[in-house]
Amino acid sequence: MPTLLVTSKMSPELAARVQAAVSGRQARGRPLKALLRFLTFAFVLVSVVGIVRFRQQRLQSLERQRAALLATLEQGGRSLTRSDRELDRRVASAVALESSPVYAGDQLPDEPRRDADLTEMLAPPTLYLRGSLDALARPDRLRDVASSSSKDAFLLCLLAPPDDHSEKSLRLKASSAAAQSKSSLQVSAHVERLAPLLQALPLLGRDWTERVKSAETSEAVETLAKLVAAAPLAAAVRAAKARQLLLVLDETAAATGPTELDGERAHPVRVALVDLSNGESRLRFRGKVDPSGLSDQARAQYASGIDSCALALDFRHAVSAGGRAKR
Amino acid sequence: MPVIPDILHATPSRRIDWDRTKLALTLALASGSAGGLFAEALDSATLAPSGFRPSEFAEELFLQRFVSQGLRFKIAGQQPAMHVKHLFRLLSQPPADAAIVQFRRDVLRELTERGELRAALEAAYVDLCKLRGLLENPAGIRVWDENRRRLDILHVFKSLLDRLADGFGDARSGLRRLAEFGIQVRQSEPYGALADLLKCDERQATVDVRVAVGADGSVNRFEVLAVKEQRDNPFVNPVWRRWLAKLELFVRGYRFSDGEILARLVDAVISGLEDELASLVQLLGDLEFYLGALGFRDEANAAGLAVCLPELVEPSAPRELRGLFNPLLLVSGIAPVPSDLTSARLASTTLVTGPNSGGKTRLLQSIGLTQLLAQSGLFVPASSARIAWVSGMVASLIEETRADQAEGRLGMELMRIRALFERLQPGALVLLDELCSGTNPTEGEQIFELVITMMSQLEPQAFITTHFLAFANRLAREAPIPHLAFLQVELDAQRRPTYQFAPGVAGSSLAAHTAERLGVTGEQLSALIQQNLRSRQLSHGPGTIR
Repeated sequence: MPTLLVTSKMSPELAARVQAAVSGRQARGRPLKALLRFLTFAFVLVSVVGIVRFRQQRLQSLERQRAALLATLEQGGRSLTRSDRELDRRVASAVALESSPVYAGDQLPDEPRRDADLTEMLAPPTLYLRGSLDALARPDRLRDVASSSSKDAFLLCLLAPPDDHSEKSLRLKASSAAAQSKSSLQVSAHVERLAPLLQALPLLGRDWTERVKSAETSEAVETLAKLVAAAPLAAAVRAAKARQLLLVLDETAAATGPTELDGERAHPVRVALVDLSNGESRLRFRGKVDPSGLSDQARAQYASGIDSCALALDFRHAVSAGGRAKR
Repeated sequence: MPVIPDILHATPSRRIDWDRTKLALTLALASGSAGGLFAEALDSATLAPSGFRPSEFAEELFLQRFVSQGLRFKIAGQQPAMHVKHLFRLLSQPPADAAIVQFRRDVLRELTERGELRAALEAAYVDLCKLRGLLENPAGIRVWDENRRRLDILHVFKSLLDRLADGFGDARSGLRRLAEFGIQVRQSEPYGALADLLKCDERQATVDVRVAVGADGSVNRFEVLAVKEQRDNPFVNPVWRRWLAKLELFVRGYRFSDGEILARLVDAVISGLEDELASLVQLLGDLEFYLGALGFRDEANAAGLAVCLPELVEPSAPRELRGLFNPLLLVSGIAPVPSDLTSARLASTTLVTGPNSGGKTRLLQSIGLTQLLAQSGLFVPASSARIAWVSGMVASLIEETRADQAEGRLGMELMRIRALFERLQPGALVLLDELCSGTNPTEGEQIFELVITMMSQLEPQAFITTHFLAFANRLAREAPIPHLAFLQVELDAQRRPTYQFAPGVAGSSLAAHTAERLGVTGEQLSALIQQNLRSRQLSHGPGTIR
């Protein structure tokens, strides 16, 4: 192997002697020493190159992961306006307003309305939230309540009321809602639960984007990506487009009276439809549910659902009657 | 054809064990210690063929002592350590080839005539001694910087080569060979590499600086104006390349240091000059030979004695030695008395007679040493001399009685004579002291006559001392043996020896004078007896004498 000690200025004879001085006439044991050193040097070199290359690959992988995640977030939030991104705050304000301990009173149309008018009022993208008044009166419980709030028999019966007020009709609707049947989901397709909005809207915000950009390890980005993947982004985007909030507040039940197997018992319920663009209530109604009149079989299985469906019919009736009808 | 800086022989040759010396040099350069490298090489150097066998005369002539004390020399007041054994071998085995002797005489003559050549030779010798010191590290001083030592060796080596090339260019004798050697090496590629490496060592780069000094004398500012590297020097590499070279050497099994790079470059330069370096080992012995001869001449001159390069003549020519002195006396600090020695013919048997302590044995020593010096091509201890070539030398000057000797004195004497004839070559120089003195004169004379009669058939140059004066007179009178000559110690008016020698046979050995000088007369011995008797009487009291 040519040596670096040889320069172009050296004569061929001197160059040969320098080469020999470096490689020739080696002392005993030096070849083994040289081999060991060469192997050590090669190992160190390969290790350094390997480490550098590994770090580069990891950085590239990190960048790819980050870019993919940011692209997902960017794509998810592309359709959101500034107003959409602030919807959670407006919802919280509306919930706080409607959950005051003192009921503000019914707000129903002065004149009787057609059924179609209510249907029309409920047609825009709507958020639906139902929970106990006590819990919703506390802003910190909003997320918990939203998580447990689902599209129930009240919503189904409000959007697609049963043909009559009979227990059988109510029970059919209640069972359909409990089963989350395809028909019930189709009916409520424009209504979104609040939970996805609260869960996923922050992921589409600037803070979350910065958090992704500042993640230093692939593991951190991966964790964030898992959170994003698990988050209902599409539902959140749809929820952010809602124009109104349908709020159902279950007031505390009276201490007396029986409690059904599903926890249903007689209690007052507030229903409010709030315009989220300005925070004003479009409809407000206070009714009462009471499972005591149900047959034993229906009460044991669908007390809550039947009560909710009945409440929806009461609400529709009250709106239709223009504030005169009460169950 | 490489020039060999051999200034001892007409035809230059490598006389030291070349491979062994080169190996020893390699080890010395690598280890920093090679005690005795030069001595070992010179002591085992081959010599020109010679008819002389040192065992036959060296001890008798005290040759070792003469070499160690008589061939000393001083340079700038310092007396360097010579390789005595090498000089002893050279002197005890003079070359049989007359051309070699003539070659050496020419060199010595030129050195005598031209002071500048002698000065150049001495300077070269000083460089060689430095080189030897650096290579052998005789004091065993620990070498802290091995590269520095090896560079110092190269510096001295280059200085020496330059000195040889420049100092002997106009020499007419064999000294010119030194210039030819130096010039040839200087024109070689390895010398160019050597010069470049040393230039690199002395001045790899120059830095121009400007120093600003304040009113109080303190340095206020230090400014580097320029840095210049010897870009055209083959040993100068950019910093990055040197660093990579270090890495390369480390991978190859060397240390990771700048010193390792330099060591490899020095190795490369030295490997190109190994033959030249080894040649200098031999040269050191050659220089000591001539400087020793010049030193002997200086010492003799300082003592008021003259030396000369003798005239070499045929054995049939007359003998003529003027101002001959004993060099052993000179080196012992005793002022020798020069004497003249003449005879009709060199190839002759000379009987030397005279009183005891008259200088007969010293004369034989002088003649023996003179012959050795003359045939070695050196100055002889005489102001002028005509000397004939001899084929060898046999000397018997010391006869000690040993406890383990097998025979009595006569028996030993006869064995000595037998041995003499066993080894005596025709035309040799024979030096015998008091032949056949161990038996009664009548029988001893018979053996004596037999010896010189037989010996004359080999036509030697023989000098034999004897106290058989009647016998010597008879031989002088009757001349039964051809080419027989006689020398006697001259006496002054008080019959004391003058240490001069004249033709003829002494009338007396003056034993009575010697006995008187040493207190062995009748009166002196009687006085001693009386003295002993008195002292015994005092110690034992009266009446004890029986």
